[in-house]
Parts: sequence; C-alpha cells; structure tokens
Amino acid sequence: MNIPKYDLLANTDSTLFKFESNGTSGEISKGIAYTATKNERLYNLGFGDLIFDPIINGYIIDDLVVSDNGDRNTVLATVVKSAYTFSEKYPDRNVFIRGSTKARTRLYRRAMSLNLQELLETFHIFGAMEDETGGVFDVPFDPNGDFYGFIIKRK
Amino acid sequence: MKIQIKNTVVNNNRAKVNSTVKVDKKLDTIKNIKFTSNKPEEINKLEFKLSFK
Repeated sequence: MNIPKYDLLANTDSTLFKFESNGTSGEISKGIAYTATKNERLYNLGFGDLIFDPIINGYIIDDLVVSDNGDRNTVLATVVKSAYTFSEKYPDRNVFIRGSTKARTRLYRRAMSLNLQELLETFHIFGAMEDETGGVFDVPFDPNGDFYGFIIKRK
Repeated sequence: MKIQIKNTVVNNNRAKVNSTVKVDKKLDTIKNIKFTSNKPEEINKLEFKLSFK
C-alpha cells in the first residue's frame, strides 16, 4: 500500500502489535490486538491507544478514544500492515473488523473501498450483516454497503 | 486512573511506505489484553454463519 506507515513491533506470535503515532498532538503509543472469538477460525481486530492502567497493573487498548493526532490515514495503513503480517502467519484465520462506533465502521469501509484493488490481491473481503435472529452472515463486499462489520480472508 | 502514553516529541519522518515489523519479546508479557469498549464481548455473543461465497 503506497501510504506511509509506522514501524510495528509485534509479540512472538503476531497477535499483538505496537507502534508510535507521531502527529500534531505528539507521540501516542497504539496497540493492535487480534483476539480469538468463539468461532475458532475468526479473530477480532481491535486497536486504539495502548494505555497502562495501574488499577489492573496491566495494559489496555482504548478503542473509544479520539486521538485527533492528524495522522489517521497513516494509522489505518499501519493497522492494515499488521493484518498482512497476522494473516501471513495464520492464513487459515479470518479477521473480523468492526469499528467501536458506527462512524468508525463506515470509515473503515471507505478506507477499504479506496484501496480495494490492492487489498483484493491478497485478501477476499466480505461484508458482515446481521440476520433477524442476531446471527451474522457474510456477503460480498460492496463499497456502498451498510455493514455490521467486515471479514477478510487470506487468499 | 489510566495513563495515556504520550510524549511531546513530534517526528513525522518515522512514517514510511516500507515500514518494518520487528518482534519485541517484551510484548509477550502482555496477556489477555482488555479494551475500553465492550466490542469483543459483543462479538463473542454473536453466532457467525459464514459461507464465504
């Protein structure tokens, strides 16, 4: 992807990534985590500010924060790069993507649409829709679709 | 109280098209990371019916 990205640090099993966002508000540590779901081949992608919480004496990812650091496209391109790394290591694991808000889910759809040709060289991309029973099923990705989330599957 | 890790040094030159991915074993110490949203819990309540057609 011909968009500048930040260097990533990864844990040994490539399920947790860290990078530094450098923008108008300074440098902010970001975390990206691929966490298992009850569907054994589906992993949830979550990202946000990586924060140390002394109450739990551990790190959390604040996926609701609005950093407003002026580097949104760079941050998104960096998250996508982590998806390439994760899916290269685990080609049988599919990745579920949904924003922590509806606006963010729409932002991710626009970002994928703008880079669709390149993404399709590596991934199958599906939209996720809810059915009347609360289940989620996949449909072909539509750049204009209103989706619950997205699923990417390594080709 | 949560501590956002934020410095005042701005270095926009660090973003590049060919960025790197390096293993940092210190990250291995972070287990079962939590999120501020309840999105993971919501997702785990869902029944996925995936066909990938």
